[in-house]
Amino acid sequence: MLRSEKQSLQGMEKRLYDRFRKSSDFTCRTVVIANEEFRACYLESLVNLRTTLSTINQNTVQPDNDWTRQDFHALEDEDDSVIRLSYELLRGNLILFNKEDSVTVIEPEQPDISRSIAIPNSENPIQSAFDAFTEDIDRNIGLLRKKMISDQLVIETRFIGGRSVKKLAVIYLEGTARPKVIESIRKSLDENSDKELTTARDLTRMLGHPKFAITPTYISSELPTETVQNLMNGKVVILVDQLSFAFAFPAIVTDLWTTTMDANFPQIFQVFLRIIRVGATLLAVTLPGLYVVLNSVNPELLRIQLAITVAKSREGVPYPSIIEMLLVLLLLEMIIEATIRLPKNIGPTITMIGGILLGQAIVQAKLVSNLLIIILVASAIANFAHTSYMNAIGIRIYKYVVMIASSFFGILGLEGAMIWITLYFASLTTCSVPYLSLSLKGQASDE
Amino acid sequence: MSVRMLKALAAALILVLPLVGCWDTKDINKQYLPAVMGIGKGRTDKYRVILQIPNASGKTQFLEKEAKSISKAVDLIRTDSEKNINLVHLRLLILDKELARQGISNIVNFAVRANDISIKGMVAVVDGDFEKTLYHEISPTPEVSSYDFFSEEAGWTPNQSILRIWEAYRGLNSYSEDMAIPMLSNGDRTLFTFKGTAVMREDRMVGTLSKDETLLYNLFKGKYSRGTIEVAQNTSVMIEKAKIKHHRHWSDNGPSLVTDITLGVVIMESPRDKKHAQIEKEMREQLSRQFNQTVKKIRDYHSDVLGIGMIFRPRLSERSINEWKSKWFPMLEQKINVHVNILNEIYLKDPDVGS
Amino acid sequence: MNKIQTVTLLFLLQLASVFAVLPERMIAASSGGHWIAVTILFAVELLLLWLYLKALSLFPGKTVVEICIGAWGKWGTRLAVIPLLVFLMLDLILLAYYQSIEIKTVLLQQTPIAATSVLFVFLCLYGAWKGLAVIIRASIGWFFLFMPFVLFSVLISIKNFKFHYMFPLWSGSMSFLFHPDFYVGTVIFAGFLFLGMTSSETRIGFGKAAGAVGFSFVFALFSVYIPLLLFGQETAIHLQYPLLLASDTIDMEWVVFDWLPSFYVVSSSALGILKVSVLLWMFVSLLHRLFMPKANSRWILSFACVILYLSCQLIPNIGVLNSYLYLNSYFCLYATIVFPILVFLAAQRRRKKVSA
Repeated sequence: MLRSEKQSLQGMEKRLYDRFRKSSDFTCRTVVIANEEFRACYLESLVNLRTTLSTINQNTVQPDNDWTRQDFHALEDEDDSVIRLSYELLRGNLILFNKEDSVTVIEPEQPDISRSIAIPNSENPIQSAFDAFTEDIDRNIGLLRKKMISDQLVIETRFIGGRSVKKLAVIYLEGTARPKVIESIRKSLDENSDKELTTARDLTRMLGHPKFAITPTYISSELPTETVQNLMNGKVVILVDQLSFAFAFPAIVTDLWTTTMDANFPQIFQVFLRIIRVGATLLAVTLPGLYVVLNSVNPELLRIQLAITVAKSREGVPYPSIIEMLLVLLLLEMIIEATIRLPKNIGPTITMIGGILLGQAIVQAKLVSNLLIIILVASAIANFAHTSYMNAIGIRIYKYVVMIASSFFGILGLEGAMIWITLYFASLTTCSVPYLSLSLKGQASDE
Repeated sequence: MSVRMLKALAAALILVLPLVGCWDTKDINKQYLPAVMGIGKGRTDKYRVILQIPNASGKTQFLEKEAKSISKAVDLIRTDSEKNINLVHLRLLILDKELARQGISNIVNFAVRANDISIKGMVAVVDGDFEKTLYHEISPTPEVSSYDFFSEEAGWTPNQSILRIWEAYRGLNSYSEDMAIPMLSNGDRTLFTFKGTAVMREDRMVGTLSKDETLLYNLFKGKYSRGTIEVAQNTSVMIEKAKIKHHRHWSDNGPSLVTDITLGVVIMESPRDKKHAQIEKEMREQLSRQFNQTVKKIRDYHSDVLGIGMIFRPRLSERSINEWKSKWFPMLEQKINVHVNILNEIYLKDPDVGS
Repeated sequence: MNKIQTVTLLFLLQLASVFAVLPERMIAASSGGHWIAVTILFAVELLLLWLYLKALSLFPGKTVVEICIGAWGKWGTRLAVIPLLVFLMLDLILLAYYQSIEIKTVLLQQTPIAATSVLFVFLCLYGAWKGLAVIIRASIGWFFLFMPFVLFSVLISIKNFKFHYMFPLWSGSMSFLFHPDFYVGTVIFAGFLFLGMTSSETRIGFGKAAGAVGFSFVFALFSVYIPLLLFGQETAIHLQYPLLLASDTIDMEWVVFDWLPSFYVVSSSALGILKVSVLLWMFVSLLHRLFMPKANSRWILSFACVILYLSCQLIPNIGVLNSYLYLNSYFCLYATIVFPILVFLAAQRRRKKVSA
C-alpha cells in the first residue's frame, strides 16, 4: 500500500521529469514548510523559491493560518493530470506534493521579469496621460480599470492556443459596443481557440479578417488613454498577454485620419487637424501617380508656364518618368525602413546622407528631375501625417498601384485606381462592420 | 475553385497589359509644346503654318512648314522636328489678314475639331507684315508673353478686344451676332502692338475698328474695367463703371434701338480751373458723336459685331432670329446717348464747389 | 446600409445618364424652349417612380420579381422581363462604348479602345461582383471624390454665359415629341429601376426618391442650358459633347490645372462606371433569378462582362452607336415606362387576391 503510494508519487515526478527533460530550469526538490516535508516542482526561471517559502512560512506562524487547510487533493495517476500539472508549471506556478500523496498548486512569488509601467515608445502623446501598456496582461487590465471606473466595462479573459497557451482579454463597454461585433468576435475566438497566438497577425487571422487587406483591420495602441477612448467609441479591445499593445476592433475608415488624442483639443482644432489628415491621405496616394500623369501621359493638364518649367527640369533625364519615380521611391522606402530600426542617435545621420546629400547629387547627376524630388518629399511627408504607422504602410503600398495604373492610362488610370480603392473599402467588412462606416456607436449609420 | 480561377485569369489579363505598351506615354521633355500658331498664306501652298515654341530659358523656337491643310503642315513640322509636337498648349492663333479677308471658317473649324487644341485659345489677325510679326522676338521676355498679352490677369486693357476660338466658332454659326478679331503687329520694344479690331461678317473680314472705336465694342460686350479716355486738350478720365441700357422698339420699318450708356468716370488729368460740368458736357458730346459714328460704320459693314441681335433675341420668334442678319439687321435704326457721371477727382476737389 | 446611401446612389445614377445623353439629345431634339422637353421627361419619370414605389410599398421586403411572380407566375414574369433584359444589355454596351469613345477623344488619343475598355469593364465587373450593397456604400465615397469635379467643371463656365441665348424660351410646337433623340433621353429613367431590387431595409419612400430626382432635374437643366448659354442653339447643335466643350471655355489663372475637360471626363466616366456596375448587377441578378437559377451568378457576371467587352470592340463607329441608341430607345420605353406600370398592376392584382 505504502509502496504503491510511493510509486505513484515518484511516478508523477518522473513523468513530469520526462515531460520537461529538455528544460534545464525544471527542478524538483524537497522543501520544509511548517515542519512538514514537501516535494516542490517548479520552473526555476519563473519561481523565486526562497521568497515564496519565506512568505508561506511567515503565514504559517500566524495563529489562524490556513496552510493546513490548503486544498490538497489526491493524486490521480492519469495522463490528464500530468498535462494539467505541467501546464500549471509553465504558467509559473509551484507544485507541492505532500507525504500523503496529494498535490497542490500554489501561486509563488515570481522573479521580477516584467517591465514596470513606463512612457510609450512608439507613440508620442501630446497633452495626454503618459503611461503605456506593458507586457503583463493583468497589469494592463489594471491600467484600464483605473482609467475607466465603470461597471459597464466588461472584461472577458480566456486562454487560447495549441502548443503554447496565451491569456487574452476581450474588453468592451456594455451598451456602447455593438452586440453584433462582440458576438462575431466571441464566435471566431471560440472557433479558433486551438490556434497559436503570438503575433497581431495571428489574432486577425483568428478573427477571420481578410488575409490581404491593404488597410489594417484593427488599431493598435500603446496608450491606455487612447484605448479607453476606443472603448468609448464602441470598439472592442483585445489585450494579449506579453504584447504591450491593445488591439481595438474593428477599424473603420475614419481611423485613417482621426486619433482619439484629438479629443483633448478644442473642436475647431480637431476639425482643422482632421481636414489636414484627409488631405494628406489623398495627396499621399495620388501625388506620385499625378507626377507620372502630368509628366508623361497628360501634359495638357499642367498650366503652360508650369509645363515649360517641368519640361526643362526633366531635360536630359534618360528614363521615362515611371522608372524615374520607381527608382527614387525605392530609395526613399529604404531610407524610411533604415531609419526606423536604427538607434535614435544614428537615425538623423542616415536621414541627412540619404535625404540631403543623395537627393542633391541625384538631381545634379540628371538622373531625376527637380520636380520629382519635390513631389516625392511632399508625398512622403503626407504619408506620415497619418495617425498611425500602420495606416501609413497601406497607403505606401497602394501608391504604387496608383502609379502603375497612371502610367498606362494617365488620369483615367488614376481615376480607376481611386474608384477601385473606394469599391474595395466598401466591400471590406470586419467583425460584421463595413469599413466605410463613420461611427461604431450603437446602430449608428454608415458613412 | 471557379472564383479562384477567375481571379487568376483576371490577374493574367492584367499582366498582359504591360506587354502591349503604354500608348500615350510620352515624356514631357520629349515634346515641343507650342504656344502660338501662326497661319498665313503660303508662298507655294495654301497655308503657311508657323509654330512658336517657348522654352524655359526665355528663348523661342520657330518651326515652319507649308501645306494645303493646316494639320498636314503641322504633320510636316512634326516629321522634321527632333521632338514630338503637342498642340495641347496652343494659346494664340494668329491669322494673316489676307486669310481673314478670304474667310476663316476652315481654320476655326479645324481648331474646334482638333481634340488636341483647347478651344479657349485666342485668335488674332496680323495687320502688317505677317512673317515679321510671327518671327518677332524680344530678348528678356518671359516664355509665354504672347499669351500674357491677352490675359485679363496680365496685360489686357479695355482698349483691346479678345476673341477665343470657341467664340469665333459661335460667331460663325450664330444667327444673332458676328465676331470681331483683335489685330496685332509686331512692336518695337514690346512683343506686339495692338492695331484695332477686325470686323467680321460671318467668316470674312469686312473692315476694321480703330483702338478708340474698340472701346464701344468692349462696352457692348460688358468689358470696360479702367480704361482711360482723352476728352479734350489736357483732359482725360478713367472709366470706373459703365451702365448700358437698351431700349428696344419694333416698328413697321424694322427694329430700332436706343442705347443709354452711363459712364461713371474719375478725372485723371484736367486743366486747373476746368469745372466738372464742363468736362461732363464735353465728354458727353464727344463720345456721343464718336459712338454714333462707329455705329454707322459698323452698320455699313453689314456686320452685327456689337451683338444687337442678342439684345433683340428675347423678343424674336425662332424664325425671325434665323432672318436677323439677312433681313432685320440692315433695317436697324440705332442711336447711342451717352451720360457721364463724374464720380470724383481722387485727391482734389471740384473747383466749382471749392470757389 | 441606410437610406441616405440609396438616395445618393439614385441621384448619382440620374446624373450619370444626364451627363451622358441629355445635353446632346435635348439640343438636337428641340430648337427652342428646351426646358419644356426636360421638364416633360422628369415629370413622366416622377409619375413612373411613384407607380413603381407604390407597388413596392404594398409588399415590403419583396423585390419586383417576387411581386410579379406572385401575380403572373414564373412564365409571365419571364415574358415581362425579357425586353427589360435586352434593354439592360444594350444600354450597358452603348454606355460602355460611349464612355470609351469619350475617354479616347479627350484623355488618351493614342490608346486603342480595346485597352481603355479593359479598365472600364474590369472596374464595372469588380463593382458588380461585390454586389449592390457594396456599390451603394461606395457611391458615397464616389460622391465625395468626384462630385466636386462635376460641380466645378459645370458651374465654373458661368463666367462666360450669354443669357440672351436662352431665348426663345417658348417654341410653340411640341415637335420634339416626334424627334427620336428625345426618346433616347428616356434612358435617364433607367436610374430608378434598381430601387425595386434592393433588400427591404434600404428601400426609400417616394418623398426621398422624388427629392433625388428633383435635385437631378436641376442638374439636367444645367447640363442642357450651360452649352446653350455659352454657344447658343445654332452652334451647340453641331457639337458632339456640348457639356464637355463648355468646360473647355474657361481660362482662369487660379485654377490649378489647365485642361478642364479632362476633369469633366474623369468625373462623368466615374459616374458611367457606377451606372454600368449597377445595371450589370441588375442584369445578372434578373438572369440568375429567373432564367438560370442553377448557374453560379458570378459565372453569369463574368460571361456578361466578356460579352460587354467584345461588343464594345465590335461597334465600328459613333454612327452605328447612334443607330443602336435609337433602336434601344424602344426597349428603353418598355423598360422604363411599361415595366413599372406592369409592376404596379401586378401589385394591385396581388393585393386583391390576398384580400379576397
